[in-house]
Amino acid sequence: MKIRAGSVLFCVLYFLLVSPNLSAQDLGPLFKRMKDGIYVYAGKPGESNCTIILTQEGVVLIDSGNNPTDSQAVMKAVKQLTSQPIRFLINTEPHADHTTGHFVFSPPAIIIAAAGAGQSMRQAYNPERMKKMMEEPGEMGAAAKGYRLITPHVEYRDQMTLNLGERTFQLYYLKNVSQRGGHGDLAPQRVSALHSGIGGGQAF
Amino acid sequence: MKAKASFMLMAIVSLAVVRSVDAQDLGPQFQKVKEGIYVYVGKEFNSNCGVILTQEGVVLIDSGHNPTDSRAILNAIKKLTSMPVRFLIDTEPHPDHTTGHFVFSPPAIVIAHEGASESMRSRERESPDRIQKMMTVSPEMRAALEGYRFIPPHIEYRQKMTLNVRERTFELMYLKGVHSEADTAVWLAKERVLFSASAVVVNQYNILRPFVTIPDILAAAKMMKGLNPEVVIPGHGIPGTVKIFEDSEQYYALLLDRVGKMVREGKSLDQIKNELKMPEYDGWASKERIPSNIEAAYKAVKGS
Repeated sequence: MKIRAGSVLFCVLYFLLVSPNLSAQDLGPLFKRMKDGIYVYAGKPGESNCTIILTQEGVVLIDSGNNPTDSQAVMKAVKQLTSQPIRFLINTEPHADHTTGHFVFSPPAIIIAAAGAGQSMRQAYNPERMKKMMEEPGEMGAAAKGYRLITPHVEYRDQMTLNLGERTFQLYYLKNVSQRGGHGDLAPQRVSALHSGIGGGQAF
Repeated sequence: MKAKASFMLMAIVSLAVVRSVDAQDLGPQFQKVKEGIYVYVGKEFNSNCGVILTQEGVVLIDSGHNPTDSRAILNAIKKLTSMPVRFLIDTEPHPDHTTGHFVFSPPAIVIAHEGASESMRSRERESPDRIQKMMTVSPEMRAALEGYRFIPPHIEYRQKMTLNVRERTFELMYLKGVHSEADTAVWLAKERVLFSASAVVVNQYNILRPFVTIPDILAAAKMMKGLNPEVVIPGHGIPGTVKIFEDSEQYYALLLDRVGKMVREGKSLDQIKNELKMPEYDGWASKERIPSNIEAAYKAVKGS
C-alpha cells in the first residue's frame, strides 16, 4: 500500500513538475514535436533552428535561436513544458544566429561547443550591433535587454558525450563543413548533436 | 558617482562571496597552493582533492578519498565561499576519487575522460555491496554516506577539453595507459598549477595494471614537465614541483636498467621478481606493488 501510494505520488509529481501534457501547437506555430520530450523551434525560412530536449534532470537546448526574440519564445515554451532548469546548451556553431541568445539561458545553462568557438565568438562580437539591437523599438529591443556575451564553458575537441538523466548526447566535431547561405563565410567550427534518445538514441 | 557606487557594491558583493580564510582555518589537511587554489591532501597516501575558486563558483578536482573526506571538503568550501560547486573534474574513475560525487552533485557537473562511466559502472557491478561494507567502517563513515547515490560523469570528453569558468581556464588532457581506464591531467596555464592525476605518485610505488606501460608513464611525465608548472599536485602524495616527475623518471630508468640486465642474463620473469632489489627506494610505501612494477618493466624491456 505504501509502495502504491509512493508510485501515485511519483506519477502526480512527474506530470505536474516534469512533463506538462502539452502539444507542440500549445507552444506556438513554430514548434514541432519530433519525439517524446523533443521539440524543435523551426526558424522562419533561412533562420536557425533551436531544439528543446527534456530529461528527468533538466532541459538541454541545441542552439539558442536565431535572435533574442526567438530565444525568449523558446524560453517561454520551456517554462510551459517543465519547471526544471535548462542545464546545458549545445552550440552547433559559434555564429551569432545560433549564439546571441545565450544570455537568455545562461546562467544557469552550461554552454558546450567545439574547440575554437569561444575565440570565434569573441572575434565576431560587435558591441555596436548589440547596442543597436537593444535600442530597437518593440519586441526585438525588449528581448535583447540584459544582453551580455556568453562564451562556451566547455570546449571539446573531436568528440564528447553528455549524459543527463535518461538521455545521452554524442557530440561530434565536423571539420570545415558549414558554408552559411547568404554570407559566404566558412564556419571554423560546426558540430552536430546527432543522438538524443533512450536506449541507443534516435537521430533527428 | 554612479560608477563609484557600482564599484563599492561590487566590492561588497565579492567580499560576501569569497571569504578571507587561511588554509589553517580549513583544517590540517588543507594547503593553499595559489590565490584561490587549495588542496585537501589525503592522509597516508589517500587521494588528494583540489578546490579552485572562481567568480562563477567552485571547481573541484576529484571528490576526496572517501565520503568523510568529501564532507570535510564541503565544509571547507562553505567557509571559503557562498558560491556553488559548479564543476567536478575526475582525474580517474576509481572509487577513491569518485565515491564522494554525491556530496557535490547536484549541483556540480561531473567531467571525466571517456570510458570513466563504464569503469565506474563495472566496479559497481563487481561489488554491489561496496557501500554497505563501507558503512560498517565507522559511525562517521556511515553518517558521511547518508544520501549516497551513484553519480557517473555528465560529460565525457575525448583526448582534450577546455573548461572556462569566468576568469579561470582548465585544460583537460587525457593521459593514456598511466594508471586507470580514464586518466586526466588538469592544467591551469595562467596559474601554472598542474593536477597530474595518478600517473606518478610521491614516495610510493604506483600500482601498474596490465594495461599500464612504463613508456606511457614516461611520455606523460615528459609532456607534463614540458608544461613548466610551478606547482604539481599528484593524485596521491604531497604536492610539489616538477621534481615529482624527475624522481619518477629516475626510478623507472633504474628499474628498466636492472630488469634489462637480468633479462640479458637469461633470467625469467619469476626469477627477476625474486632477485631484483631496489634498495634506493626502501623508504617508499606500498611495497606489495613492486611485482606489478617489475612485470611492466619486463614487458617494456622485451618490447611486448
